[in-house]
Amino acid sequence: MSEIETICTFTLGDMFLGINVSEVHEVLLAQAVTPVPLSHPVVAGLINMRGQIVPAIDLRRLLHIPARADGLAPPVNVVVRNGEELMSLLVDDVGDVLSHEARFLTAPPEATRVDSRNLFRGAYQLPQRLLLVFDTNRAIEAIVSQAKSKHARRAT
Amino acid sequence: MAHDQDYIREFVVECREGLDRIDNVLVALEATPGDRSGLDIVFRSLHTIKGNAGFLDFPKLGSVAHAGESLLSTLFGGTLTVSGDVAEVLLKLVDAIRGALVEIEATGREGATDYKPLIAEIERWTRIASSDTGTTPPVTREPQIKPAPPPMESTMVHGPTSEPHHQNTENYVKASSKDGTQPVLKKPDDITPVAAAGITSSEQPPSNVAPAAGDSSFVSMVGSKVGETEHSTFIRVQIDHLDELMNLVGELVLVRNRILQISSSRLDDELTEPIQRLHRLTASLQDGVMRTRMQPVRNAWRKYPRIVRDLAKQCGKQCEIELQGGDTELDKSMLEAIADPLVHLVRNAIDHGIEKPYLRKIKGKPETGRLLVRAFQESGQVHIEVSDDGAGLDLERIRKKAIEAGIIAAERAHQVSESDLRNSVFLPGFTTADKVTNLSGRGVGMDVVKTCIEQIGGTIELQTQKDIGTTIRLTVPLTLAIVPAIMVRCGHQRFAIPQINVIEMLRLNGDERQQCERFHDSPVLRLRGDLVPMADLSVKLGITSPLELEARNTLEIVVLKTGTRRYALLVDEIGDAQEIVVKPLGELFSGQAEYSGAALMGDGNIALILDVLGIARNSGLLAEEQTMLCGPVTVREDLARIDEQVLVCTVGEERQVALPLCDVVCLEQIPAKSIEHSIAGMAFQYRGEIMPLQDLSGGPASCEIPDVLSVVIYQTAESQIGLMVDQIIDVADRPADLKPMEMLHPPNSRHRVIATAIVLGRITDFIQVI
Repeated sequence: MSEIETICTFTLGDMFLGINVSEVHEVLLAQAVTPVPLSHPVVAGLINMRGQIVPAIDLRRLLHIPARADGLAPPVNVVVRNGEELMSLLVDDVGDVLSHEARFLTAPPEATRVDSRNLFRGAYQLPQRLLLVFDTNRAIEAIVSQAKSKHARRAT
Repeated sequence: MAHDQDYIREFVVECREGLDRIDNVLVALEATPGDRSGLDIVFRSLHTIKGNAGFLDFPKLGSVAHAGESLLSTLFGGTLTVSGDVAEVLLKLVDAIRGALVEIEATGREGATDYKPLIAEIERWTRIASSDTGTTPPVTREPQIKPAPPPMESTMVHGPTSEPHHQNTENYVKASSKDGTQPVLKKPDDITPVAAAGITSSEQPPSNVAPAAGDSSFVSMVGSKVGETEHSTFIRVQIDHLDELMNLVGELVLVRNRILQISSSRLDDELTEPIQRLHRLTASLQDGVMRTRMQPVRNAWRKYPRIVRDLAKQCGKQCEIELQGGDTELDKSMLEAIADPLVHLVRNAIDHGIEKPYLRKIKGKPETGRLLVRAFQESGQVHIEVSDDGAGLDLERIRKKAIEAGIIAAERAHQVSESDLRNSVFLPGFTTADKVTNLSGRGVGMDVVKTCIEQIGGTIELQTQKDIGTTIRLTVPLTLAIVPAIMVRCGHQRFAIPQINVIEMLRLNGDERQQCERFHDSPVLRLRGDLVPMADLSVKLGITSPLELEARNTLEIVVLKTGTRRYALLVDEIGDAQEIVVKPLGELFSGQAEYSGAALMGDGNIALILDVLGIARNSGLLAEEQTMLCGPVTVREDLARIDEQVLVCTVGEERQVALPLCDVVCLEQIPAKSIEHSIAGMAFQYRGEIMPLQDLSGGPASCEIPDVLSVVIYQTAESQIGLMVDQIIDVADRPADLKPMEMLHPPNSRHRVIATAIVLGRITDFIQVI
């Protein structure tokens, strides 16, 4: 028997995505997001997570998916740990927690955008659809470097 | 092993505290020899160090401390005066132990330093102290090269037995404390009569007689008692624990606020009472936890007497330091942040501020300089002042240097205000690179001090008067964690501005809005005669597109200061003042200078805390640090061509006149009824001064004086004068072909027409004010 991977799944547009549950700090229902003017577009703003101020990331921006249409339910927060700090990833909706045998993880499909592809560890082929699994560390790295690159430009 | 390290760390901390205490006692002793009240503190501290060193197996350190302890116990028993030399050797001992501690802290082991010469020296003094006649004490300025005689007392087990001994033992008379004569130790050139045992402080010689003639400097401590015994009812707590508690309490406060808000909307009597209690308890808890992190500012001052003493000695100066308000408390992290800048200021004051004794004598000041370090709390902030009665800053010299350095243009040098010149010491480069620091006496590293203070949300001010002295005042918040702030609204968002940065808040309605105007395309605020650069917060943050000033009914403006500069921030609405708990924004926003953090509000919303300095920098309000030298206004920078420009106004019966812009100080609107008359003519009260008023129309005052008069405040050679005009038209270039004409003097006036030309399509008189 191979290892079982447990994945917290969520949707973003028509994408079905997941993060290993061990990397998820918690899932929060919609929170008011306070925008931070002049910050990088990938940063949606700040949320108040029981007294802790946590940056919220617009995953659509990160994955180059068109912005949310109006009238959709407010985004759900998937909170992950970034070193000492927390970071919330805004997603459309959370799905079930699924378990899969890790050996079925395949490389992300070629069709994924080149600059997004390395954000994923791989994909599970489910009967109905494809589940893309985030490489959380890489995704966070990408977010931080994007957020900072903007500032570097602004400072010059 | 980990335990050992913990012990060692604690040992080092404890030793350092002891050494600080010893330092202060000794420095005080030097100034008032014979005051024995502090000796037991020295003794006890050394004893503790010795004991702990034995326990942790640091034999060298133990033997040094032991030697000191022996000397002290002998001093106790005897009656000799503890004068400069004894204090000197004890200070050496303190330094040696400090050195050993550094080694121990770094490596966990004692270093290879040889303390034998020092121990020998200490023991020599122990013998002197225990000898029954001290009338022929040794004159040993370089004790290290005259190793001590063999130990004679059984207590000196750590004596350097293997050292060769010199033969100057005839200087010592063997101890015999049993016979009635009291041993007295004094230096040969010390004329102070030494009283017998049981001396009381009132009988002591005045301190200015006490230091030996060879000593060019001494330090005394005034106003701060060192002899106080410090009973220990303290426990050591890891600062992390306190931080954690602080965070928890912060969250508790937020929960409480939330509950308060919910309960206020549901009038449930049963709930009201416990909630009120929760409210009170939380407040006390918050207060209590805050207080655990508070430390008296004295903790940072402990080393000062010693620093002052050493430095004064080095510079060949005399200086006494007075410490006031050491009980003033502020947050530990705050205290740590200001410790180094403060030491720098103290050093600066002695190094550059206080003059050499002969100079002070020439100037008619007491030869001993005075340094006052004062702390006090005021309106939720802590103020710390370092003042000296030294040379002060020579502003004229700074002006010259600034011109030489190209920071101000020579022709505008006279416009640079004194306060700007004073503040120039905070400019990087200007202070350090130039001789101005050595000559005028201040500055190296002042920009660093300023940066440090501003980083923790504080401000720094400098006041100086030539030959009278200099005072530097630091203002810092009580704590980094909880900050009083003004809430402002911008768009749909709320922002917090730390109150320490807020000078004043303005709400301009109707005609008052004219105080804001555009000057060379950038908005400025006319604030009581000064031009203050202004920024629209919502534009700067990209929240809304620029809205014409005129299009708003009300202008709400916060006037801010950062360091020595000020600017005005236009916001959509000024809210109330609140105490906010500062939370860092974290890594993602590390490059974002506009905010210094975020805070949770009572309703659970988040407000960003504006970084006043960052906003100014990013919006080009303070484009160059150096522009501050050119006025309270960066606008003056735009006036580079003012010599070629004129201010065009209309005066009585639509006559157009032009005034050289370089001499215009500012534009004012004054109510007509504020005009008064004196024998010299019309005048009005302007900032507490009489401002003579001149009607440019030259004729008799027209019968229809409008309610509000436009007045141009104009700089003449020696004074200022207000010029009444009907309307200010614009700034224009002076025509190149301006031909002088026969001068016309309107009767009874202080101005004359020097030329006439066509400006802005109209015939215009060029006016010169006499």
